[in-house]
Amino acid sequence: MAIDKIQAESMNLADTYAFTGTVSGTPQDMVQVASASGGGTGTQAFNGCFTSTYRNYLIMASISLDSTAVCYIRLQNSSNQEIATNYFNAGAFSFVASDGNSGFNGGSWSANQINVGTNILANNPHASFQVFVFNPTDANMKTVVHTAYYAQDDDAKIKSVRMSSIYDTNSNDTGIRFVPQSGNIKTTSTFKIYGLK
Amino acid sequence: MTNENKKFVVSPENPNGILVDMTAEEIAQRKKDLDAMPSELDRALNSLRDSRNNLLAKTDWTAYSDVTMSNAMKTYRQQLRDATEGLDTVEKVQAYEFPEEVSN
Repeated sequence: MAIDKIQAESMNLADTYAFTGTVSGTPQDMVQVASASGGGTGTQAFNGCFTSTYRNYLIMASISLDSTAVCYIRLQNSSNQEIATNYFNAGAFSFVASDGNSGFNGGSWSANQINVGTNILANNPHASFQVFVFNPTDANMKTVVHTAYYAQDDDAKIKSVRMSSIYDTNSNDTGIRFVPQSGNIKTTSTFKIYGLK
Repeated sequence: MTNENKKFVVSPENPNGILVDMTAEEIAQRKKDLDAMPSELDRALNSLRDSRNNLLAKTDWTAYSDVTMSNAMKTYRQQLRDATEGLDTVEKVQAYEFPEEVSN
């Protein structure tokens, strides 16, 4: 709307207006597509969060569990069913503890999930997941996931994992879910998903 | 754990999320996940192995071809490798003390 039109119609900028027009212009390169707190359940699912609108996605998750366990990540197919097969994971893991520092490389071939492989200590500082998802909805490509993870484990060890995973099937994966191996995702957890052009 | 067989679903239709019962397939997968969970003993042993591997790594240099490893170091490293032997309860794992470190 032109500034002279706003002035001519004495638009009150403190008022509320029902907008019925069309927004034009270049879309943002990074847009939030989903946001939620933890549901207090054994699964936190994001149905339909991946669409062809965005090529890649970033997920920022801060997760607390009510039970000491690993929190798996699984993709969902276009019917919102969890995909629990055929993931290949490769990663580097390190920890710091009162008895020193250590690290090693690890991974799993044809696993049932994207698995950082270390526990989140129940009711303790939240684990943080930074997850990049590449090409999830391109049915001609395999979905690749890069994960950076940090959490306090059992035995007061501070653990950091950087890993890459692939779902080894060309498919349209329209959602993702976080699944603790046992217990529930606490309501203090937060999830934000951004689409990246 | 009353909510373990429920899922919290966020979707374009329900952006704030809704509580939904898991499907039979999801409950079956959940059971598989639980069954695959390491026991408390396994977790304690894995943690001990992490620490043991850390101590072994600190003395790996003594095994270089241009270094003569002392008998004390050989004994120490063997004790580390044997650390988990006979540890068949969580209490035994927690009570285990690593051998005193050797300089070479």
